[in-house]
Amino acid sequence: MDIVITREALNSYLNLLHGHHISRSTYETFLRPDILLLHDYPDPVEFDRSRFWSPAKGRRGRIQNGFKMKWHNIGPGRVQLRLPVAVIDDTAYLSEAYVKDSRKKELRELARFDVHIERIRRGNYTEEGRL
Amino acid sequence: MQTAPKTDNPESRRLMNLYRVAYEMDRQGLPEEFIVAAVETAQDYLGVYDLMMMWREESEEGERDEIVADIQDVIDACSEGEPHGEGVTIRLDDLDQIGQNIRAFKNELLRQVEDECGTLTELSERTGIPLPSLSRFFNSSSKPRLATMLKIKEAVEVDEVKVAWEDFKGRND
Repeated sequence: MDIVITREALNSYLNLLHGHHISRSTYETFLRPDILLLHDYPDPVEFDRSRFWSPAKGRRGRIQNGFKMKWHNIGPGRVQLRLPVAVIDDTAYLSEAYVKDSRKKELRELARFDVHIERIRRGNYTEEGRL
Repeated sequence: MQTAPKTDNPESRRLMNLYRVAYEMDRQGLPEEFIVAAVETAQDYLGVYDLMMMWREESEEGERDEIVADIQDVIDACSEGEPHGEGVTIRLDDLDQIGQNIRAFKNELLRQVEDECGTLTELSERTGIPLPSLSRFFNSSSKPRLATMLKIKEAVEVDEVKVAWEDFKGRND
């Protein structure tokens, strides 16, 4: 499966760095190897572990095509990091990563993700690169 | 007093809910331009509808501000229209410097805004961008959106508009 880096994903990386929630090393050592598993999705056993990968559920329930990749106590900030991923037609679109520090925050982020997925379906998104 | 019958049509119900939220947002002093755009976008994207309902259900002011900023972000993203990439290769090694350059640009822009407007509240009134959105814009390392920069440029005299990755590559001396 192809892995697309969207503008939202790139901006979120910049903000997470700026906020010292993650470091370059965190990305290279932990995040990137996990994200690269998406090339072989759904075969790697990691995708069977709900602590690593689960469907995204927003205010109205399951978000179609939406999933979350999860890391726990990661980075200099020891944060709960979530990376929303849209899986559409054999392509994984990385969306806006966030630190989950409350359920309210997560619901807001997933509402944004819901919109982002719909924009992707309509072809209204910016691709900044591929992994 | 006679109560108006509620509609069974889900779309009509959603629209009525949006009008109720819009009315309350107006009472809370949010910019009209923002409220109109939020209602329009929410009719097209259910995620925005969700955010507006969250705003209505939320009593904590700080959380309401975050929701407003989220709604404005999404309005701007949805309004960008045609898909595009800049055709610029951004290397991981470049990102630290790009992030620093974006911060430096926004800090300088904020200085120019404060010179002319005095406060972000005044800028909010001039641009129609809600104050929480402006606070988030100036405090984040996200690449500026064209929609936001154009509104700010219309409102105040700014030296330059930077919205492309190329604008932020290289050392900021």
